[in-house]
This record gives sequence, structure tokens and C-alpha cells, in this order.
Amino acid sequence: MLAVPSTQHSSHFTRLPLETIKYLDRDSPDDSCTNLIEDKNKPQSEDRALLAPQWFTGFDSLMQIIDATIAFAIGYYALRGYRLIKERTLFFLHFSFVLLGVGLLVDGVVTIPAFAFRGLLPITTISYHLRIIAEIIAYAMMLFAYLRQTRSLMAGATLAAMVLDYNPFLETVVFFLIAYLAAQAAMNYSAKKERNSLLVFIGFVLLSVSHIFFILPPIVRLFFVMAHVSQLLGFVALLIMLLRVARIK
Amino acid sequence: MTEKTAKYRSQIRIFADILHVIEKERGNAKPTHILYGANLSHDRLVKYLTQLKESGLIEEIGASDRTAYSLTDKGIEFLKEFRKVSQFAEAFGFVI
Repeated sequence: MLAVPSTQHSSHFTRLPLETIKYLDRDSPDDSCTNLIEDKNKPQSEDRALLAPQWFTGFDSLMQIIDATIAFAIGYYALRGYRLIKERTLFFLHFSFVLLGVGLLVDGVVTIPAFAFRGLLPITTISYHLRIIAEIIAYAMMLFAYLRQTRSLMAGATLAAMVLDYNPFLETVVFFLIAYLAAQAAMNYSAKKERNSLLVFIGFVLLSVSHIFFILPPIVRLFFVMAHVSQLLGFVALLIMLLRVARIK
Repeated sequence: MTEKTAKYRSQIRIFADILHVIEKERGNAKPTHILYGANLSHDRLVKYLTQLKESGLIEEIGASDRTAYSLTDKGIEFLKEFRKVSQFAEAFGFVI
């Protein structure tokens, strides 16, 4: 298996081949990536071992666009609620989901032409980082909204644990943020035992699971597919909750 | 929230509670029913009913000695939207 040029990119695996190909094309003997140069002689199919399955190309973008649409729908509903009752927590929720949607949409849309025209591939690195930063801000804002209401010891302890467990990989940071939100959703469900709360809990659990899968693709490339499927299912769970709420008379 | 419920109701929640009581009384809610149903003191009830009338969510019906309240179309619509928003927020664990 090829070495990964930058661990920060390991979560978004379709980007890796570009960098890998770039390194492989270097002929300079003093290139520091000697292990990559050695791999130059490997068959093309083996070079692509780091890729997400080829049959999945394009589906990831499509799924992200669907995710973004659902995120915008939830954001819009939160804004409607904020306009009606002027509750700031709903504004934070609106802003979080819109930010999530923007990140997913930009990343999803940019990836489509980037694969058709290889010259555009570096842009996907930018769009990927844009998405992950948007996710960090969005989930941090949701977390802040929870803390505003709870101000509990549990919340403080979890935050402290997050800081102590700080990991430089951005996906890991996002995972911890969503894991916290999933824990809050679990407590909410255990207190209320309502289906809508259960759907939100399932949604956050699936989203956090998706980020575990995003961290794992170097082990099994199918994890990349599972990450996107899990993320999509997470947003679908939130969409079902939204549709259930919209049907209330 | 899940661990610690709000100690007091927000004004918007009180409005919704009053509207809910009026709706339950099928558009002919007497002040005493609203007072008990929404769990309010008399002074606060008078204050909120005035605000609700001014914002066009309820209307006064009947003579002064037999005052009753009913929901306007705007009030019915508000209550419907409030329920949706409330369920939406509660699904995420937020208290309104």
C-alpha cells in the first residue's frame, strides 16, 4: 500500500490519488518521498489502492448534495421557529445547519467537475477543508446552544474531556463534537421517550459514526463508502423528524 | 433541557398555554378557566390577555359581566405553528 502523503487528507480519500500521482511523477532522486517513488513501478490498479471504490465516484458528491439539501431544510425550519418565537437557541440551530449545508454543498458540487477535469483536483482539497471547517464551526455552535440551556456539570466535563483528548486531525475534532451532541440527544430521548427525539439521536449517532469511517479509509477503502452512506442515513433520520413535525396539526 | 428543566416559563410559552386553554374551551373560555388552565395569577392573566388581544391572537366575546375569549384565525395559526416549533426544538432537546 502507498504511504499517505498528508495524514490530514486521510479522511477524504478521493483526494489522495491526486497527491500520490503528483509525487509519483517526480523523477528527482533526492525526493524525500522515496517510498512513493519506489511505488512508481507498481501497476496502476495497485496505485489506486488508496482510492475509494471507482464505482462510488460521483455517488459521494450526490450524497453530499442530498445531505446539504436536508441540512438546509432543517436550517430553514429552525429559522421559521426563531422568527415566530425569537428563541436564540433556534437561531444557533439554524445557523449551524445552514453552515453544514454550505460546506457539504460546496464540497459535493466542486468534486463533480474536479473528477472530470483533473486540472481542477487541487480545488477539491480547498473545498474539503472548507467543508470540515464549516462542520467544526456548525457542531461547535450546536454544542454551545446545548451548553446555553444545560450549563450542567456533565457538559463541562465532556468539554474538558474533548480538550484533553485533542487530536490534530480535523475529522477527529468533528467526531468528538458530534459524539457530544449524540450524548445530549441520548439524554434527551431517555428523558422524553419521544419518537422525534429518538430520530435526532439516531441522526447524530449516524453522523458521528460516519466521521469514524472517514478517519478509517486507509484500512479498508469500503469505509469511505460506509462513511457517506452513514452520513446520508443520519441526515435522512433528521429529515424524517422534520417531516413528522411539519405534519403536526 | 434534559437534565435541568426551565424553572420558569417563557412569555411565549405562557401565551401558547393561554391559547391552548381557549382552544380547549372551544372558543368560549372564561377568564377563570384560563387562569386555572394556564396556571397564572389574576394580575398576570389580565396583562397577558390584553397583550394577546392587542396582537390580534384572541378576541373578547360576550357582555362585560360574562366575558369570554375565543381564538382569532391568527391565533389558531400561531398555536399551530408554535406546536410544530415546540416539537422541533424538543426533538433536539431544547426547551422553549
